[in-house]
Amino acid sequence: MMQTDLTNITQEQGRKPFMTMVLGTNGTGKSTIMRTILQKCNAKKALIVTNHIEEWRDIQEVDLSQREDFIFEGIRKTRCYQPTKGDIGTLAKLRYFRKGIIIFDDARLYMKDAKTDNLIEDLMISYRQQELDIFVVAHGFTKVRPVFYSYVSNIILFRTLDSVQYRKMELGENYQRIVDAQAEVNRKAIKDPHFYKWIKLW
Amino acid sequence: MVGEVTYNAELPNGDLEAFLSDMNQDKASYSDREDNGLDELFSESAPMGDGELSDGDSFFEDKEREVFSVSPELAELSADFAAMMTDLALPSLIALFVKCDPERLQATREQYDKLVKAYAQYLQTKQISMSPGWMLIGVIASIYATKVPLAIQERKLKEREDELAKREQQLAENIKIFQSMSNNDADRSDEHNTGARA
Repeated sequence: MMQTDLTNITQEQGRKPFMTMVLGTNGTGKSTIMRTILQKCNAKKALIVTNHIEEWRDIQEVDLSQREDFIFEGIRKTRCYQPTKGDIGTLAKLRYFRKGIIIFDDARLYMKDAKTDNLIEDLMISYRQQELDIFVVAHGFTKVRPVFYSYVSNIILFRTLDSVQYRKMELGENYQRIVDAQAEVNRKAIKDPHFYKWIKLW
Repeated sequence: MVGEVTYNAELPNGDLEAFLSDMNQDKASYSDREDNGLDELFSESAPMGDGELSDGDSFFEDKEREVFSVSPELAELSADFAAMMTDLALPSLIALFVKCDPERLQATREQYDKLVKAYAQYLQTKQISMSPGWMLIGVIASIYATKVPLAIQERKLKEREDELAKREQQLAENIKIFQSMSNNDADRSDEHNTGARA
C-alpha cells in the first residue's frame, strides 16, 4: 500500500503548470510573443479564448460543443460564450480541457464581474490537475481580474500605462519587484517600444 | 529571478528561450485521461452549472448563445448616456464664457441622433461599456458641475446684499443721530430765542 502511494508521488513529480500574464499596451508585441511561445513550446494543444476573432484569423475556430473541440493536436480558438439554458458556457466548459495551454486573450472583454470570477476560480483551483498552462493577455494590471493574481507564476511585462498599485494586495511580497520592473520597462520602451521583462514569481 | 530581454522581431526567441526552457520541462502528471469528464459534459444529463449558477439565476438568460462582449443594445444605451452628457455639459461650459442661454447651444434632435450613432459605433468598436454606477456619477457631475459657478456667483451676490443691508442700516442709524442732533439744536435755539425775548 505504502509502495503504491510512493509510486503515485513519483509520477506527479515534474514542473508545476504555469499561470503567466502577458501585459502591455497596444502594439507592444503581446500577440507576437504569444505566437512565438506557441510555436516553440512543446505543448500538444492550445486553445485561445478570444472575442477578437480577426486577430487570430489563421487559427481554426471551435465552439466546444463536441468532443473533438477538446481533444486535438495544434492550436484552436473559441469565442467566450455566456451560459444559457442547456449550455454551461465557455468558461465552465474549460474545466473539461486537459493537458495543454489555454490563452485568455484580452480577457477584460468577457471577464467582468463576480459571476465570471467564480468560473475562473473553479478553473484555477483545478488547472494543475488538468495539467494546463494558462496565459492571460491584457493591456495592463487592472485589466486582469484580481482572482488570477493568487495563482500567477510568471509575468511577461511590456510597456503598460495603468498602475500596479491597484493590485498591490494581491501581489503581496512581489509587489515592489513588479513596480521596479514596470518603471524600468516603461523607461526603456521609450527607445524600444517592444522591450519587455520576464518576471518569474515562483 | 528576473530575466531581461530586448524584444527583436527578427530573433523573437532571443532570451525567451529561458522562459521556454522552463516551460518545456515535463509537467507533473496527474495521470488524468485527456477526455476525462467529457462523457459527462456531452451526456443527456449535461451539467447546468455547479450549484452557484442555477436555472433561475439571472446569469442564465433564455435566449440565443451570446458572446461576452458589448452588445449593440448596450453600446446604444451607453451612447445615449454619453450623448446626453455631452449635450448637457458642453453648452453649459460654452455658455459660461459667452454668457448666453445654454439651451440655445444644445444640439437639435437630428444632431443629437447623429451624436448617439457616432458614440454607439465607437463604443461597439472599442468594446467599451459603462457601468450603471459610473453613468450615475456622470449624470450627477454633468448636472451639478455646471451649477457650481452659478452657486458661487449667487453666494457673492448674497454677500453683497448683506453688506448693502448693513450699510443701509448704518446710514439709517446715522440719519437718526443726525436728526436727533438737529432737533436738539432746534430746541436749543428756540430756548435761546425765548430767553432773549424775555
